[in-house]
Amino acid sequence: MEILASGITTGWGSQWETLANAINSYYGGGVDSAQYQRVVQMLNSGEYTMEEMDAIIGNIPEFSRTYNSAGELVQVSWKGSATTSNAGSSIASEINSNVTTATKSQFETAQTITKDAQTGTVTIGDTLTKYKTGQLAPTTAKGVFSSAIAGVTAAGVGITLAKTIDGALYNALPAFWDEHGMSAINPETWSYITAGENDFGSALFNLIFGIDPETNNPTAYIDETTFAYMTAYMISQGVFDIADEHASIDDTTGLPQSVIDALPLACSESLQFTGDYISGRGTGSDPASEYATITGSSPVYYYVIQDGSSIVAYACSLEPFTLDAYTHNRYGEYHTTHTGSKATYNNKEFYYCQADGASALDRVYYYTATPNILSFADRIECAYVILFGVHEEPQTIAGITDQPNGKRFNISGISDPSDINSVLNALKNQYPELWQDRYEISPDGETVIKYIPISLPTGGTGNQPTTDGASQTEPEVDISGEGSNVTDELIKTLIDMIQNAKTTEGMESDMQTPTQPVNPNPADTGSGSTPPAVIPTGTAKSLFAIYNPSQTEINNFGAWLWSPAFVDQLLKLFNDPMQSIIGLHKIFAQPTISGTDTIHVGYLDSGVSSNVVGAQYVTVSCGSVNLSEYFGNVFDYDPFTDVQIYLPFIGIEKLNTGDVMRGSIEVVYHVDVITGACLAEINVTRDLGGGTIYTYSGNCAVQYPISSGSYMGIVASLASIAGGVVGTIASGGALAPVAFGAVNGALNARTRVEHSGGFSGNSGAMGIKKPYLIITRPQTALADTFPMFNGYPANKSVVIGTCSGFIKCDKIHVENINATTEELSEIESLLKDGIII
Amino acid sequence: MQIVLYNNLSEKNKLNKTLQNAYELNGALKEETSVLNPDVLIEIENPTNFNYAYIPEFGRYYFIKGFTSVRNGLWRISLDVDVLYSFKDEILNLSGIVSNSETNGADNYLNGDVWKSKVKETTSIINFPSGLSENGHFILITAGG
Repeated sequence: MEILASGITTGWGSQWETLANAINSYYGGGVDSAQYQRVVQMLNSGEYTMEEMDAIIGNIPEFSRTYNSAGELVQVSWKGSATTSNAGSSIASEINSNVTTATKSQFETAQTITKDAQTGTVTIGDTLTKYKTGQLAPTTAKGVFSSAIAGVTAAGVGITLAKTIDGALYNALPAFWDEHGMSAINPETWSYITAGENDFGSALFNLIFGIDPETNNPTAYIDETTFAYMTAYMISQGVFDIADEHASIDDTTGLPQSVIDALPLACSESLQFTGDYISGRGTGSDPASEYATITGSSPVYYYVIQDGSSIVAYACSLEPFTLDAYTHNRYGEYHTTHTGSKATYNNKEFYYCQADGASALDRVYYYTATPNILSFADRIECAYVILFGVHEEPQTIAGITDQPNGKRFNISGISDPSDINSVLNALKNQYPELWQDRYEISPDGETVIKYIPISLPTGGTGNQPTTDGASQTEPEVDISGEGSNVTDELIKTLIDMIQNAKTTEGMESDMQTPTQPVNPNPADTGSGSTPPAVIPTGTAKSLFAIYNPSQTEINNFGAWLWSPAFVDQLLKLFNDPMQSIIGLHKIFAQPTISGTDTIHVGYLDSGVSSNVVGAQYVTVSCGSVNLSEYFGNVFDYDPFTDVQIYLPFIGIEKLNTGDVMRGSIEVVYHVDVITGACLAEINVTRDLGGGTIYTYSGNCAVQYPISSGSYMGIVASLASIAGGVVGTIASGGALAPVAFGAVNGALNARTRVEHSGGFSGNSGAMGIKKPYLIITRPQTALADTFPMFNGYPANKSVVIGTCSGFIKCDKIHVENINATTEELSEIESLLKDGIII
Repeated sequence: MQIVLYNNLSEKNKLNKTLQNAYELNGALKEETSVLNPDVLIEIENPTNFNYAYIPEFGRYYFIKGFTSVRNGLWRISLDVDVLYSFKDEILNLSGIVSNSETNGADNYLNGDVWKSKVKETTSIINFPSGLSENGHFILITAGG
């Protein structure tokens, strides 16, 4: 077992463990996982007392505790092996083991849950499809479903749209993320996107947590409708309004006041620059398209001056530039080349030119002047302020600012925020990369719900979250602990989000035990249990006595045995004094002690005190282990995965993988202290049913020679000279009682072909005394893209239109198609060979 | 007879084809040609950039199997009906039993020849929490009670 050091955090640290274990158990962990390492790090911090650690560790099933004789916690250990952990709750307590999460899912099918906006009916989908930039085709993927409260969801959307949120917002507007106000934007859509209410009466929104397979860091995904709705709410609150900007400049010598006052009134990257041109610009009856190519080493800025009713466009830059402007309208195509002219103002040199027909530039600033404040004569001054001024962008709302270099959301085309579709379309146009890294689910085979990544707030709590390090460009939450952006508040927020998801009209999102499939076909859970084993009681106490002496007591008894007093007296009863000693052996189970007495031989009292064995049979439980699926598919079963069990004094036995997988396995030994015979029961519990599935017998007695005859009997047994020993028993000779145990051992010695040889009591004593499972798993070799070329095995009745990707039909009725016989045959043939939908 | 030529970028067994660069022209059927595998004469400078066609009169889409130059500017193209795209909507309404599926209906617990593994294996050990006594206990049986 992996031994961990002392020291574990309390408070938020325990919550962190809960989160880590929640994610870890769902995705499969073990000592190599980042979460486990994080826990180790916390344990090694030494910041807390053992008592504190004891209280916390006791609530985590993956860890076991060891105490010294004083009752002090001295050791914390990680249960299970390095490659297979018993993470999660006991399998035996689960109603349906078929939905127990595999410790490592190679084919990741998530239980996705959706709620119908009209009926409120909750349905469970099959598969998440993951789209990712750079991948040729979507893949099936896994996500952890949870819910989030309104404030966290909305703030996450804001961060994704390049906004920064700090606590000042809540000082001024403590209920900024007011759900009542949110719901009023579009009540119908609000009803659709909310998943229900938590214990505090707050609306919840479904999120998917995807986990990076390399870093184990989570990223939150939200469905696009909720994303648009939160954006619409923020639009209504003025979050995206552009405040009057003011330019300040150090040297305003000679600068007209009108220029200082008027510039820059608006700075907006409103012109979408695609390659070298934009298209479709222009309005009215004379639409035109314009594009420009620029050569220059510095960014070129574009500005427009309206002088009376005339409007002229200009361009400026710190370095020389050339601007080739092209205009294409109904009259034809026009090409004009502009070269920036050198200008000097307040000892600053720069370049500017008229830029008619050049609407597309990189780093474009579209300047809107108040009419008649400026004139074309101010064009140089305008360029000076644009190039050398400091632009201050005051906050429209206290506590909400723009992220530096963030990609801002332009709301100029959105006239009515309650039109969620228009908001959604604007988001798609301006942030297409978000939809390129999306999750999709299709719960009914027709409706497709898209989840896109958002950046979560990493500070604050509840409905007052703060950005605190999160950014638009880093949606992944670093939970590694080293240089991470994790804070106490984030942990609590995440835990609240993951663990506060509640049951609503049959909807469950428990990460430990996903919900049962809607239509199992056929019944997939077992039931019943085996009858209990009744150990016989009673013994012929008048004919023999059984003692459990210690080593010292044995030595003392032996001394008395060979003393003259014993021999003289015993010879009056037996020809051979050793006939009074029936047997001496060692068993490897604690016998039941009924009291102490001196050892009697016949009527002679040796005077040597010893424990007295009170019962012939004793039961030893070796405990139980969970055997979870590792892959979550056929690889977990025969013939791929092989399960064997080592049983002390018996050997290694093969178990049917299907009998024990997804079950809790318990080993119980029943031992006969007189003969050493042992019976190992393997009890398997699964789906709250089960019992003794396997039994094996052996012998756990080590015989000790107390006479030359008994010694020969032991040796003969070990040498498999069974005939001589049996003959001794049949003759009822003096060797019979002593040889009984040895014969028993020989008769019960088992020969193993695969992994172990005979395990009699004498040889078994040299073996391992604790049972263990040997699980042999395959190393899979599946091509990443095989689903799209071959598909997964399936056996399901479908309508072709409900499928996507590659399918191959086993049976198909080609009907209701107005085609020739040859075409119908070809359609059937193609469907059976496989098509791509 | 009208015919529309395309560039088809999709796999042959894909139901919904991605067609580009539609080029519409008129053609004439070669005598005694079938609807499923027609040969069509078209006047075009060079049709070899196209690989797909649609004949509205037949209501069918075709793969272009081959080109034959009849004379300068006159080509004969051989077509092979694409039943998948031609009857796409009807096919989508069909019901059946799928044996392999990329998404809908896939079952990770069904046997199949897709489950491939290496000859190498990994072995894991799970120890039970406890076992028999490590050192054992003496049992002495003597005659008499």
